[in-house]
Amino acid sequence: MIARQKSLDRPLFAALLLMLGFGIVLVYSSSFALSQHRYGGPDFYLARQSIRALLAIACFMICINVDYHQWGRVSGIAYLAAVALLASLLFLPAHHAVNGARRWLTLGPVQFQVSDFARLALILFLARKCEEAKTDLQQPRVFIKLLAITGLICGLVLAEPNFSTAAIIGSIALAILFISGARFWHLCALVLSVIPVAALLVLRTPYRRARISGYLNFSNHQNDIAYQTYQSLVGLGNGGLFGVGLGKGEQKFFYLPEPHTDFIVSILGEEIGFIGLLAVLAVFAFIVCRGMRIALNAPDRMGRVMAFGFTAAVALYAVINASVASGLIPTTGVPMPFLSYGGMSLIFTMCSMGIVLNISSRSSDRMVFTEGNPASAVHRRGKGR
Amino acid sequence: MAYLHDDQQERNAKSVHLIIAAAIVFSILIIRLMYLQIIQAGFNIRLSKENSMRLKIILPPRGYIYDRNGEVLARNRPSYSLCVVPSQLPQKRRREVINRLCAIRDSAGVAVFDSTELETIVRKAYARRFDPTRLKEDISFELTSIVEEHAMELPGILVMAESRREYPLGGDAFHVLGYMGEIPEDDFDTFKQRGYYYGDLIGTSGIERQYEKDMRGVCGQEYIEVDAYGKNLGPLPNIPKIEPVPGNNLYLTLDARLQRIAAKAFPDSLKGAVVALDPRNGEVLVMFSNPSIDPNIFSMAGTIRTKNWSVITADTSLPLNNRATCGTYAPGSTFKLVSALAGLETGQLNAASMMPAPCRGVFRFGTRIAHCWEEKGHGRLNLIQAIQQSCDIYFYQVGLRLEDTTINRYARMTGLGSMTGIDLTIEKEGWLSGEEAYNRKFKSKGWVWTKGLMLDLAIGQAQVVTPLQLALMVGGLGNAKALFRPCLVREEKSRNGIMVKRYAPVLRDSLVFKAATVSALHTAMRKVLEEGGTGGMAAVPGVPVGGKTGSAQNPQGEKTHALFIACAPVDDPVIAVAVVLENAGHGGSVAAPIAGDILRYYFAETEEGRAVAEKYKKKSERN
Repeated sequence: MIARQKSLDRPLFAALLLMLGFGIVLVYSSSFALSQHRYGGPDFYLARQSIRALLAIACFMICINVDYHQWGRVSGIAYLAAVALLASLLFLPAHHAVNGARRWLTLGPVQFQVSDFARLALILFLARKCEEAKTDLQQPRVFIKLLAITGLICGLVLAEPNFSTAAIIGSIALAILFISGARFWHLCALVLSVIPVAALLVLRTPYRRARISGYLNFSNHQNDIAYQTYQSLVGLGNGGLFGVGLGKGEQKFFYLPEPHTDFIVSILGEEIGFIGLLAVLAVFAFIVCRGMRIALNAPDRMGRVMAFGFTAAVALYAVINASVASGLIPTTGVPMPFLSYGGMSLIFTMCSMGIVLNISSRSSDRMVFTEGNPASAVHRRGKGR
Repeated sequence: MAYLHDDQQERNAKSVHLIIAAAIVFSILIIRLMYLQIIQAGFNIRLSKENSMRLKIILPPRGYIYDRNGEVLARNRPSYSLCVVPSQLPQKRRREVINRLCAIRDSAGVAVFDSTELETIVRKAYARRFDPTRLKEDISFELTSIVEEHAMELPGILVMAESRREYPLGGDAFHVLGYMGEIPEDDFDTFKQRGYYYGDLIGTSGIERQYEKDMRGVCGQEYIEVDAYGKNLGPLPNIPKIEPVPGNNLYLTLDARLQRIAAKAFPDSLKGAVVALDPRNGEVLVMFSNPSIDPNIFSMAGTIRTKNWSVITADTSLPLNNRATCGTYAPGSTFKLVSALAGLETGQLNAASMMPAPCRGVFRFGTRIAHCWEEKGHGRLNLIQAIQQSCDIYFYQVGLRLEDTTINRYARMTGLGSMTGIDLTIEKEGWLSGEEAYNRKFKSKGWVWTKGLMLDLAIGQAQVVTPLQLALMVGGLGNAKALFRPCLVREEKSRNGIMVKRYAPVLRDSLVFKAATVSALHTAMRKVLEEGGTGGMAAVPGVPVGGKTGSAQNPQGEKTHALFIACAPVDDPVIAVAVVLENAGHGGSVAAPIAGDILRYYFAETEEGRAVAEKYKKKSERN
């Protein structure tokens, strides 16, 4: 246990709260028309998102103040719970399926995508395992063990089915293994063997193939499979350099389906323009940079893996979401961290960022800490690379 | 602390890789956004505007069809269809709305909708969520008012007004008027270029088809502003609405009253056709074909239409065929008039000519034994008597005196064996036998023309003609001066009554016959309807009618086809009639009464006919 030596990363803390607040404004702007249409009032989504944001801040504050090693201790249970929940999804009756996929679980008043929780649990568990493994990660046995831990979660998410989330979780895990010192050629071999499987999965499923063909023959599918993307591009183009003004966009008036969730970037681009979008992306970049810095300066492997994993998750989600909204990649349902409407996703993200901030409060720029075993480092150095 | 320092270096190296990768991804994203938001900005703004604009096509009202007296033969009736616009029907209320609709009962207490059927249609409707999809076509007025009353509880459900074609005469004038049908899938591209839209109806046969472009009109268009739910926000102010141009009304030569008489007189169970026309200008007064179909079934709701279609297409009596123009029949004894005409004109015959062999019921030519329909025989007859009694043996001998080409020349001259040129899309030519035509037609079978076939040719058993050609022929023989192209349309007027086109009579051929020929034929034709003739059932009191019966043997059945052709008044006809009934027996007993009904009605009830009848009455009073 290390004593708290430094206060937490204040700029990151500020940036996160800024994004959270901006997210609420944006959710309101993008959803009021839809809310009016569906629920007879403009603030249905705003109210719910605000409550969740408050909850998210509470969780955030708790996570900031709980020593992250505690999470490492419960990560085994969290991992098992995630596996159990994902497995239970497969046995849900068919009417729970949304468009043929069982992704959501309802527990009392809360409804959440199990894969969000699974991602959190997996990162925590991997952090603990990496801490335990130390430099043994270079041994195939240990590497395969960690791979199996990741593979189980990815496989279950894939079975929902949710290809994109499985791919994102897999990528995060891969990156964690990379920075934790797994052998580079192990990772390469893994990637090369996964790619054909993934390609096969995409090509064998009709709706995935349709999305790919909608992406490739974009102009022919503007009114069917590529409709959302098309409307999203219209919105972005409409915004231009400076945007039409916050709240003044047209695309949310039912042209863009579900403007407040996966395509919120389009509304953003329309209303505050390229400049605004650039600013938002800059804040994301800032958050990611600070997160990476915290990971670099983490006092131990566990902290490093946690900070890196959570930051990478935010970065990947943001980049993939923005790429979908700008038509760079085929449509896939990935929310924008902090900005998209969706309560539990926001709470999970804020929790993970809370943990990152907690790590920051325990790290030292000057590398003055006592944790770590010199012997193992010597051992690893002895083996050489 | 050394190990830590080293570890730090390694971490830094790895993070550099990751930062480079992240920077590349970020740059791609930003370049893409620059492209979309700065370079392509103007382009997309236009798309954003188009988003909210929808072109609404306004279908023009189709022209009406009137008969020669202004009676409506085809008109448009308003019809209401119940539609669903899925984008306006919230998913959550779908079940509720369907249940509500299923609760609607008609006056007999039967549920109007079937829940599973409705569910299926509504589900399918989501494919075109902004457009109305019909739930039920042509609904009753009560249902319309029920739905409009409960509009608040039925979101997304609306009543759409449409126009449907209506034919007051029903099956009585089906073949000549035709009907409306969907554009055939294969032809859609060509129709699209002519301003048709998917789902449009077009005239599929008869007048509706022939004058499609005149009656359709021109579609109007209007740009309306809609939100993404397809909700109409009203017309766009700066794009003017283009009003549709209504189709033109057609005024036919047909007389609805005569058409009804013909349909009524025609036995329902028999197949055949009736044609009446005015030989002075070719105007067709009656064109009826049996079996017929009520064309109104084609304007009914889709489900009824489909059911009826399957019945019609399975019907072996081919009710869609217009037998008046497409039915080809052996003219039988009616052709004897043409044989006589040829004989008279070439000088081989005169009114008093007798044939070497008297009628004994049989006639021997080479090895062939030919019979007269009258087994007892007619004895010695002159031409007038031979026509009056329709003696076959007399005409066998006429045939032997004449060349096949001579008879056929006069047949063609009077309109047989070639297209009449009537303004209908489908017409059959018929076929005139003769050495050349026969050898050509039966070459594959190895049959060769022999002189003996002239026997059949002369009595009308060798060739096939259409009822319309027969009417043209008999009118031509009566008129003896000119042959006009039959026509069905007199005038075309715009909806507000401005004359667009007048269809003048078209002269086909001038006829020049010897006076003796004409008077001999007229006498003979008149005698057919008098005591001792075969066509007495067609007589009209006070008006001299000339006619000829026919009972044509045919390969289709045991009974002969019954034919009757007539014109009246015979020496200056204002009406010519041809009646053909398939496998019905003798022309005199079956076909002549139908012609008689038409002629008697014409001279007693129509203005044109009454005027002529008056004239003859005065003439006979003077005598």
